Amino acid sequence: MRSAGFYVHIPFCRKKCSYCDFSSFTGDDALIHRYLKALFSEMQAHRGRKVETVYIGGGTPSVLKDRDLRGLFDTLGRLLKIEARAETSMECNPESVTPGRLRVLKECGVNRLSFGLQSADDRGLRMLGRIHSYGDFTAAYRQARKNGFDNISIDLMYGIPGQGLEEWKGSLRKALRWRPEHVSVYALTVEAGTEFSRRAVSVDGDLQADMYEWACDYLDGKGYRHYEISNFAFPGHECRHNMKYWRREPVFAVGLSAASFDGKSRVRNSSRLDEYLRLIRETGSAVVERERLSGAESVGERLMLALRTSDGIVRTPALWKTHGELFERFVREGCLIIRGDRVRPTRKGWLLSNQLFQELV
Amino acid sequence: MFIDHIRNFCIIAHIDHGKSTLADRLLEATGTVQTRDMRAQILDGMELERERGITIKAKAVRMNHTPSSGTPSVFNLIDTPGHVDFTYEVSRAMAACEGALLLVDASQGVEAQTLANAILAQESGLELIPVINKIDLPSADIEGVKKQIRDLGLTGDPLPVSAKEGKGVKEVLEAIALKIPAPQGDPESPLSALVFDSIFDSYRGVIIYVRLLDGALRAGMKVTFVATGASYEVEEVGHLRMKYVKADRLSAGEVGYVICGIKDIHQVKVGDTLTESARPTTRPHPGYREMKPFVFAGLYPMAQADYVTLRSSIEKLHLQDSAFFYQPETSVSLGFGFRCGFLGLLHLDIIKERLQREFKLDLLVTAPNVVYHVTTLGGQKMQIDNPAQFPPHGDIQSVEEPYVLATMVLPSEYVGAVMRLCQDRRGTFVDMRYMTLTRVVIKYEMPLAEIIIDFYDQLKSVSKGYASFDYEHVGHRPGDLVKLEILINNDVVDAFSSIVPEETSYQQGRKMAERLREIIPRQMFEVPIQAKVGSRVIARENIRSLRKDVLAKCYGGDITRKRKLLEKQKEGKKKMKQFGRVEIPQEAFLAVLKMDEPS
Repeated sequence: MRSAGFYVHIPFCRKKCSYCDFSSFTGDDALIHRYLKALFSEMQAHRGRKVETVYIGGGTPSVLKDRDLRGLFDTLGRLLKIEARAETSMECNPESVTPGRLRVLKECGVNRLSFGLQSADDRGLRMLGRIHSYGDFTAAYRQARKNGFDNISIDLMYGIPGQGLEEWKGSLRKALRWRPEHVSVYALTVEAGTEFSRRAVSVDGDLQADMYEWACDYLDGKGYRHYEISNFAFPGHECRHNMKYWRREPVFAVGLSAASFDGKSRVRNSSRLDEYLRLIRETGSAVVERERLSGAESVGERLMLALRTSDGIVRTPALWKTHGELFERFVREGCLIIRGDRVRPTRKGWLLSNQLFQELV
Repeated sequence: MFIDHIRNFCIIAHIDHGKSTLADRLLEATGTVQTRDMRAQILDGMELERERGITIKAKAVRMNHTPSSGTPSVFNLIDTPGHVDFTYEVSRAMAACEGALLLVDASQGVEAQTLANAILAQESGLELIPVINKIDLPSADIEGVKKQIRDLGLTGDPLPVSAKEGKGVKEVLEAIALKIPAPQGDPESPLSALVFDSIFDSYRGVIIYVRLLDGALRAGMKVTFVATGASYEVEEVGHLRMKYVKADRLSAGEVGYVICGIKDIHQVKVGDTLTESARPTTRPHPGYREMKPFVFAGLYPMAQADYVTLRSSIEKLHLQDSAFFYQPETSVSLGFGFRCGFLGLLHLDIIKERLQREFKLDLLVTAPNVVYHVTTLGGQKMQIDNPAQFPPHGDIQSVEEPYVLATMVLPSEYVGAVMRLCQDRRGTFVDMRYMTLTRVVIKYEMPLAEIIIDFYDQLKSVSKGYASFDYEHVGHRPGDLVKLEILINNDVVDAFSSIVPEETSYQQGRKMAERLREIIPRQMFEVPIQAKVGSRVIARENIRSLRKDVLAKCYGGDITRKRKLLEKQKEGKKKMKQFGRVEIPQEAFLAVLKMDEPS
């Protein structure tokens, strides 16, 4: 069997951002330690598992102290069989990256950093409720390069309140001067329960579409391959861990609200911290949702995930029998394109992907 | 039971004057319902009726009461609907009675439906007992209302009542016994029983509510319906208490139910007379007429697969409601469905809601319209109940549309506003009369088409809720009318066609196109909307294409959630109807109803 992916969730942040609807907490040291203890205990179930990607996400994993980070990677290294060529990613917020921290990460085997920059101008950052400045990012980025990190991703957000098309162009141009190997661009979405939703912030879908299209062209011109709806990379630097989700390969996950997929079933941990800690203490597992998809549902999900990527899907006769009519309709609308034996999404198709995906689920 | 000790009566009132509450008190006072079983407005059994505070179907209940004369008596209360759409149901209920309580709200006074119902009752020869309700209200004006009642031509001192507090109820019962005449009829004569209501029970078949004019009904009898000619054997007869109570026989003067195991729901026509097959009556109830619907609309299943269910549901509802008309039709844009006829807009609304609630159907209802009489250049006369079938402008010699005489009762300060509204709706002034110094009765002749679309709401709005309204049909009149067609994505959607006065067709076309642009969601491509009269495009709007509908993030933890989100989005789409490549939401078909709302 192919090696799996492994995801570790660190739900702590120094401050919650205005758009964020993840389970995250500011957390004091004592709480963080109780959490890590639970996390290590949950990991026991994965002893001996072969993995080829490790992803530490959050929250803000970089809020962990050096000692805790070493503890985390020690435990991962002891329990899992991590392949030699594994991709080990960690999400970092610019303000919590220090030269010392970077050295520790390097020693722990982290070989890919994902910076949550979000905007290259300070006004946008303040609007989003971020606690770092663009200057914090440039400092962190330089340090990362100095410490030998040669696979860096940055996240950027468009459609921020008050941001026009020109501001977005400026933000993206500025960020790309650093030539990161990988860029994720996300449209701001106002999720229920967030600060933005309380403030009744609305987004302009047409403007976001313009921003997206401009970004796609610009990134293409800079040599990035648009390999998933929101993701761009220099060839060979696509995120191997995330590709596993879209290829519907097994990814195991630990931590608060973490979701695992073993190839057949999807399970999800509690997203309430007290419940997570209690369940792990009492039973060793915090799974509260389990879902086993039917054959048809699995097919639909596989198609939906694959069509998020530029690889698309293989056009087999069996698939065409069940979905040919639907796909041909979207080909006529200019949302899909048939090339050789593959069906691939177009840019328009990506922008309107829900229209297709809702027919697939 | 001697016929002399039977009293058959109904309660007539304007909406909200407390009819159902008074009925509740009578049921309690006669011990028909124990107080502990009582719930408010017990006769309004349908969920829909309680929610809307109206009675949709006539129903009957038998009460035992011993008045001060000491003779145990039977009181049959036949409940009547209180809305102008249901005048026929009211008239059937009245035909089964000898008397009526005319109930007037002490603070509202005589309203348009009080007038209409009082006239109807007087024409039916009923003994009217005026009752003033809600005397407990601080705003009650008992003396003023007494004067208004006298002005209706009613003699006798009205009974003051507070149905809410149970005051005056004994006196009402006493008056029923004293003033309402006993029914006349001969139990030995051939059977003549008026069918005044019927319901369909899935176990027992059709349950027919009858009032016996002559003769008697027993299980085992062979009976025939005079109008339809269908014959059956009676399986069971009984009395209508709060439930069906089996009896040995029903005889002249009585009200009760009959079950003959009828499964074919079209065999029972309300207003028909039931008689004995071997000894038919020479005295059938004369009031029978096939109901004539005035307002038409298309009813279509959202999913064509539900067509068969819709058909059987419509058949079942039709049984309970003889005024409701239907026939299958096919629309180019909507597929297979039904053209249905209704007494009015409320009636349409109720049928639609009942189909949706009781039969769990997802329905699409087209904008309502009236019946036009069209004469073509070739001299051919046609009755058009579907705008899509309206002949091309060039083929028409003349068109006639139905008119009503609208009666509105309102405080004098709103006269100007109400007259402006009527004029805007192509009304012709007929009469204005002061009932009192501050209460006015205004009459206008208006095209029915102008009142079936939100007229009542507008009337309430311009009179701050004080104007009441009633109407009667006065026949067809000529009009300058044209067919307004709507094209969506360059195809005519026949379900959007409407008949409008030529002089306002331009504004209406523009409004309609604007409305539809707002209601129809953006699609993956640009959608033009055009309004057309004949071959002339009079308005054009564009629905810009949808640019973005995407979930930006989809990683491990999100997949299940995102899938559910998409499933929900898909559910929402099921509420839309597909026209070629365009998806149109249900409410678009009623867009024309809301044309006067600010957009």
